[in-house]
Amino acid sequence: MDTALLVEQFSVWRGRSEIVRSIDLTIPGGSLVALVGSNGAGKTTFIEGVLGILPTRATRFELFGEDVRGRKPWDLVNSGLVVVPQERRLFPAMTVAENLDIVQTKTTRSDGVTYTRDELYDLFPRLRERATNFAGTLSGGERSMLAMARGLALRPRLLILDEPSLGLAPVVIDSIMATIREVSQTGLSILLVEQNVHQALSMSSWAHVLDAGAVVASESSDDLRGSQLLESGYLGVVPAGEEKGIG
Amino acid sequence: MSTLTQILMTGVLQGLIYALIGLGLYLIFSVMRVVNFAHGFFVLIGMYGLLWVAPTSFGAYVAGTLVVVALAGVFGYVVERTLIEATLQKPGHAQLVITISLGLAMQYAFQIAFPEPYQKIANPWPFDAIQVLGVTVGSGRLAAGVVSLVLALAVSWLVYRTRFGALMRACSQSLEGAVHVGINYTRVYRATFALGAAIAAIAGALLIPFQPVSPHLGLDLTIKAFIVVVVGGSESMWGVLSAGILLGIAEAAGSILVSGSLATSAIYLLFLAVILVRPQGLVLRRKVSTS
Repeated sequence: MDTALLVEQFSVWRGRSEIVRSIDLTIPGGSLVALVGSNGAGKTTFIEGVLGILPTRATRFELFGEDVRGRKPWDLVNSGLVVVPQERRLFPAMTVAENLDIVQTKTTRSDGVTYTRDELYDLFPRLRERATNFAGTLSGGERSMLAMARGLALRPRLLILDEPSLGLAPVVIDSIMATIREVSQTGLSILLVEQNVHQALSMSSWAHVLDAGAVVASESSDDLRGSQLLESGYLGVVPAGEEKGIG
Repeated sequence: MSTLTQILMTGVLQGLIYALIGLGLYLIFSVMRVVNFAHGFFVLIGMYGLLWVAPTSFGAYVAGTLVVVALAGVFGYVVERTLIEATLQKPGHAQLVITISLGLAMQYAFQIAFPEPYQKIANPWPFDAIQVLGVTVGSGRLAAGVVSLVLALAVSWLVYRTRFGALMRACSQSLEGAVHVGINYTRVYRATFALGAAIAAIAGALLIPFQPVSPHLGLDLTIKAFIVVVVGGSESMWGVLSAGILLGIAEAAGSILVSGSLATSAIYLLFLAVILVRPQGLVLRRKVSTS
């Protein structure tokens, strides 16, 4: 299987601070890879760097084998790199349907997954019911679904999902995670960024652990689940029985 | 009674032009979050452009207008690319300084190129002044008001019914969202600024048959465009339209009911009153939460 994303000595700056420091990271094509790490580890900064929103430096930055250093965000999106951001970034005064319409790209790419409007609504039935509602009136779960549907409508080759479960009720999280699994089975390469470590590791085949802007571990998700990293509370996950209250 | 109809008739027609000028400013502001203090001077491009063409027939007037408006659009595009783009990442006062400087530079350029103040062109419209409800309305004024209304509706159609309009609304509602769906926002910005400049130039071409032009008019029109956008509530095109008409009526009432220079102060009093009573503007879109 070819490589979806490959970065070497990849650094990302936010203002004057180098937040992501010279990391190496690979996402094999057709797989679901998790990127985990505690709050402030630099996960979102990494993604914004990859999309070309923040300034970066790298010795290698390849998307499906193609050198994409210095590309603008819209060129990367047209090449199939699609990010579903943590803040969702929907168009609040447009309807659900309009939010999906806006992405009609003029590209003639034949690769990448293609979803028709109906297939997207089948994937997220809730969006079909809300098709004529303004995106600004949607609930948190519906927003997350619409952001993901909008991302899929862009015909991604690599889909990066930044905290799709953030701030959602457990039952909604389960439904969204099930959809991600379903989408992943079509062979689409997915990078799932999550604070919800256990959920992310149970779904992914491989995981990278980010801490303070550096990759501290890259191993198979099953190995990582039993490893010291999790046990030691490195990821902000406190093992059962060791929770401490204040005072 | 005839005074009232006179005020309403003149005011509405003049107000429609103010609405058109305000619409250009509103588009640039709502899409790019750029406050363009040179906007009134873009109107002068249309006025001086037609003054220079000096059309002697209706056909020449229309052709001249099309050429001047196209040039104004190109000028707007170049201004956006060279001056505005550099300020987008900077704090708001950078845009303020750049656009005010541009306006002043244009003012003096016009002063040098056209030293003779207060000129206008001969009536290019193929009809004369007409009587409406006992009030005589000049052909230039009538045509300018009607064409402004049609153009305002055309702009509304462009914004809400076309692909380009959808891209403008996307950038306006969430620039980050636009970036994430692969919209090349710099292109949208350039086109929007060019469109705003072209609309301003059309308004200038409509004004010049009955409004004598001088370089100082640019600042006056900039301020009026601001009033229209702020009073209209910066979230709605219908607000801009109604605020323009209101401004025109206030100005007409001021000029008929009180003596000359007090007329201008009537406008600013109205502006002040609206800001005090409804600081959010006259028309507001129903609140939807962002993000």
